[in-house]
Amino acid sequence: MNNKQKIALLIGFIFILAFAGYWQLSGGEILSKDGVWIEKEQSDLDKLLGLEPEMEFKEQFIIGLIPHTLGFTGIVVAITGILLFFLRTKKKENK
Amino acid sequence: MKVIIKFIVIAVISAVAIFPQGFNVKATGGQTFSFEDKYGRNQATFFSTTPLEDITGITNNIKGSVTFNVNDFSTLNGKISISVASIKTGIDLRDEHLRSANWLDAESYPEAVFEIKKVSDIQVLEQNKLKAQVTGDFSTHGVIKEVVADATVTYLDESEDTKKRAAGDLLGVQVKFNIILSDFDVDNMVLGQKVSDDIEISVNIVGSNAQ
Repeated sequence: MNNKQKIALLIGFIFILAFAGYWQLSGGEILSKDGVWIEKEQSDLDKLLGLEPEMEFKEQFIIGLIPHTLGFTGIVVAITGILLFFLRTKKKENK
Repeated sequence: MKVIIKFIVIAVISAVAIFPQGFNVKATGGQTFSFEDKYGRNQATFFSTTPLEDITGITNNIKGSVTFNVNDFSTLNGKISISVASIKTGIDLRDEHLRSANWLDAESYPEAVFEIKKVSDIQVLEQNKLKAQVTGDFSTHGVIKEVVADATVTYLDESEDTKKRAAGDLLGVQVKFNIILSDFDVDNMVLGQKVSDDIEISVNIVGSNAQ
């Protein structure tokens, strides 16, 4: 492996690591989500009635391992693979 | 001495078992509470957890009524209906799958119904609040199975505060129970992968005894 190939591999690895970190910080969900259920603020009367907080849906994109994180990782691996192929050291033909 | 202690213990247990347990509120006798809320504030939640995904389904379309003697909660009877067709999970496509014939078949069975049969293990928590186990027939997808639910029930006498929600005395009911989907002939091929077979159902409803 030549120096250019090593750099391409390192950049690819950094991209994957950064995206995996972003996914983990976003909640580490397995599947991507379009929104989350959140608890509404309870009135004093609802508390007196012993009810649990009402839930409401809030639209919010949450990145998941499937399909987005794995998809991105696959693209980076493919590009890195192509770069490794094209950056390989070509043997000079002996005449 | 031991005989006397045994006698006292048995007497106390018997007294707890024999004496009716209910609410100590202004109202007395039989009361009927209706759970229809035109503002859709009553809520039933369905929760499925699998390693792949947690799914929460919610509906505010609940109706039904219960009747009981205020001083004896074991007399409770009635039924609660939950609209299957209006369950929302937050993803429209998933809601369509849920309502489809492969799943809950909302067109043929638009409602899940809990019909109360028996109340046991009543514990008075406060004068107007008690906990109990409610046994009933739960029906969905055309199948009826007996389930046992944990219920916490709170009785509020009518006041200026309660009138903001509805006229009459209010009954706050919080119920939790689990069902096994395959027991109700819901055997979709993705069951157990993205949706658990074991579903936790939680119902939060408020009824009024106003005529």
